Amino acid sequence: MNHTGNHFSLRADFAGFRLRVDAAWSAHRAALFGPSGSGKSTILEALLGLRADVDGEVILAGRSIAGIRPQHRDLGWVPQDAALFPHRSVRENLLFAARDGQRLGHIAEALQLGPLLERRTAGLSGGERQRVALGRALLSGRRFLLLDEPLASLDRGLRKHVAEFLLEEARERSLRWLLVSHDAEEVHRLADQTILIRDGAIEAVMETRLALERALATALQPD
Amino acid sequence: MSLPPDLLEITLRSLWVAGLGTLLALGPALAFGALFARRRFAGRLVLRTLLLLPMVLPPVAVGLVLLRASGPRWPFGAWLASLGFDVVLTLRGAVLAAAVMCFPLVLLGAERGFAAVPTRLEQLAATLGTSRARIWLRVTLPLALPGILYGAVFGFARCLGEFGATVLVAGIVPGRTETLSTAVYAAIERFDHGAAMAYAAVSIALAAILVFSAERLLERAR
Repeated sequence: MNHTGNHFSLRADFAGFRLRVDAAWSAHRAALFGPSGSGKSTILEALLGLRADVDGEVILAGRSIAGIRPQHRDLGWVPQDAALFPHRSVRENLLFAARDGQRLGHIAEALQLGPLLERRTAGLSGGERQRVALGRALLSGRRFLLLDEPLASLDRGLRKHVAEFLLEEARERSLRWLLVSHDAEEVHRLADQTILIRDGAIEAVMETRLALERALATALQPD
Repeated sequence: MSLPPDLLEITLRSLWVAGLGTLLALGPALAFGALFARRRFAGRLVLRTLLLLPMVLPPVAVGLVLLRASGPRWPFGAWLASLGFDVVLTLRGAVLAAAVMCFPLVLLGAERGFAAVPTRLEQLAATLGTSRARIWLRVTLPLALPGILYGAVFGFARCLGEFGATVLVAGIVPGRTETLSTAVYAAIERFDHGAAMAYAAVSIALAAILVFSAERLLERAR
C-alpha cells in the first residue's frame, strides 16, 4: 500500500445479510457501484465509524482509521437523505461546522442556494436538501468525502452543473471522495475508478468506463 | 362574595413551589429520560418502574415515605440535616414533595423528546468533527426541547395541584406552607366555602392555561 492509497476490509453478519468486503483503489475519486441492497450504504457508514456491528480495517488516503471516533476520522459525509438539521436555517446548516465561513457566498452561489439561505429546511425540495448537504460537507473543510447518491434528487440540468462544480472543487482543493451509487450516469460523471459490489461482496475494482461496461454486460446476461 | 385576602399570596407561593419543584425534577428527568430513550440495559424496567411509581401511588403514601426518609435516622434525612435543610413543616418540604410527585411526568416528557431525535443527525454532526458535548447542546437538546417542555409544563401543573404528599410533609401552616390545594382543604375544614371556591377557581384556571399551553406547544412542534 502506498502512502496515499485506500483500502477497506470489512466484515459483518446481519440478519439475512452477510458482508465480507475487501477492496483497494488508488484514484482520488472513486465509486462504489452496485444494485440497491448490495451493501453500499452500510460500507459507507462503516467507513465513517457509525456502525458498531461492522469491524475490519480501513485505510483512506494512506491513513488507518479503524477504531477512531467519527469526529476524528476527517471524513465528510453527504447521506442520501441529506440529514439536515431541522431546527436550523439553510445558512446555519451550511455553517454548522464550517472551517472557512468566508466561502459560504461562493458555495451558496455555485449550488444555487443564495435565495434559500434564511429559510428553514422543512419546506425544501429533495434537490435543495441535497445541495445544502453537499455545501455543508464542502464548507466543513473535510478533504475526503463519502457521498451517498449525491446527485440523485437533482433535476437533469442541475446534475451536470453540480457535478462540474464538485470536480472543480476537487481540483482546486485536493478533494478526494468515495461515491456510492446505483446510477451509472452519476458514477460516470464523478468517479475515475469504480468498485463493483453485489450481494455484500466485491466483484472487481477497475477504471470506471470498463467497470460500467462490465456491469452492463452482467445485467444483460440471461439468468 | 369577597375574595380571601391571602388569595394572591397563596397563589404566588403555589407558583413558586411548583416552579422550584419542576426545576428540581428537571435535572434527573433529563438524565434518566436520555438514558431510557437511548439505552437498553439490565434492570431498565425495574428502574423505570421505581421512578414512575409516584405517578400511580396514593400521594399520601409518597408523603409518608418522604416524611420517614427525611428523619435523621435515614441516610436521606441525615444528608438533608448535614446541609441544614429542614423539610418537615417547611416550604422546602412542599418543594420536595412537589418535585417527587411531578418527576414521572417530567421524565416521560424528556424521554419522549429524546426518543424523537433522529440519531442520524447526531451521527452526521459527529462526522463534521463536532464534540459529543457540542452535539448534545446544538443538536440533541434543541430537537428534544418540545418533549422536554411538554413534560415540564405538565409537571408544573401537577405540582400546582399537589395535595397528599405536600400536606404530610409540609403541613398546612398559614402564611408559610399553605398552597392553593391545601388552602382549599383548610377553607372547607373551617366551613369557609366562599374562600374554598376562590382557591379552587384559581387552581382550575391555572391548570387549564397550563394544559392548553402544553398541547399548543406540542401542536406547533409537529
